[in-house]
Amino acid sequence: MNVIQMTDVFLGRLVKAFGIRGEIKLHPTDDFWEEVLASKCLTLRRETTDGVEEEPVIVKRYRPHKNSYVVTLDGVADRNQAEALVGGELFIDDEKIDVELPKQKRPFQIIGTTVKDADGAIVGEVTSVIFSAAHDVYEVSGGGRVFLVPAVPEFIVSMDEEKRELVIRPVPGLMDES
Amino acid sequence: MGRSLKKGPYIDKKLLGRIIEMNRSGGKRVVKTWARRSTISPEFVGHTVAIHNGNKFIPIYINENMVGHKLGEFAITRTYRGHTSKTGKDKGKK
Repeated sequence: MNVIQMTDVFLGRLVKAFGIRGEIKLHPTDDFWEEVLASKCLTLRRETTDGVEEEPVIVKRYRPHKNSYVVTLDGVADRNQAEALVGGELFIDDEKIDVELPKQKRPFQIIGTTVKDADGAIVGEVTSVIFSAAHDVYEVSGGGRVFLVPAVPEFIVSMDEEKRELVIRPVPGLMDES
Repeated sequence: MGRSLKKGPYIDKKLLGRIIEMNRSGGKRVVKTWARRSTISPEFVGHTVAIHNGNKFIPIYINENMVGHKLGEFAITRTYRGHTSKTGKDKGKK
C-alpha cells in the first residue's frame, strides 16, 4: 500500500464521467490552479479492492465547466474507461512541480510557514488559510494560542518562500485569541 | 425592500465611536465586533475590524472599495467542504 507523502498536493477529485468520449469531471480543491493540468508529474490515486493504487497521468485536454473542470486523460477514450477512474484523486509532488506556480498563493504554499514578528521572534506557524471576500486570512498557531492574520501588506512585512518564513507586523489586539 | 434614504445607512454606534476615537488619537488596534449588519463608512478605511462569524473573529482590513457594504459580507459563516460521494454515503451506512 502506498503512503501519502507530506509533500503531495491534493489538487482535485474525479467526480463523474462526462459525455461519451472519455471526459471526466474534476472537482478542484483550494490548492488547485489551472496551469498545473499541463504538468507531466501528476499522479492519480484511487482506492481499489487491493488497496490504494497510484499511477502517473497526463491530461491531454481540459476546459472549465461551471465550478469544475472537464479533463481528458491520456489513454482514456470512452465513457467506460472514464467511469472506472471516478473517485480517483489527483496529486502532484510539491518538490516536482514543473509548471508555473499560481500568482495568488495557494494554501499548500503557506501552510507550515514559520511566522516571526518584526523583532525576529518566532510567534507560531501557519496552520490554515481562510478565504474571505476581502482578502485571505492566515490562521497562526504557536505558544498555546491561535490567532488570525490578514494577508495584506499592512500586516505582512515580508515572505521568504525558500526559508518558508513569514514576517508580520502585529498591531494591538491582533494576537489575542480569535 | 431597501432601507429608507431618510434614515441613512445603519452604522453601529459603539463601533463607529471607537473608530472615530482611533482616528482622533492616531492609534491603530484591532476592534472586535458582532455588528455584522453595520454598514462600512469612510471613517473605517485603514482600520482592521475583527468580525464575528458565529464561531470566531475574522480580522478584516478595511479598504475604500468596501465602503457602503456591510461588515458581515466579509466574514463568511459557512464552510463548504463538498458533498459526500455516493460511495462515501454507502460506507457511512455500514
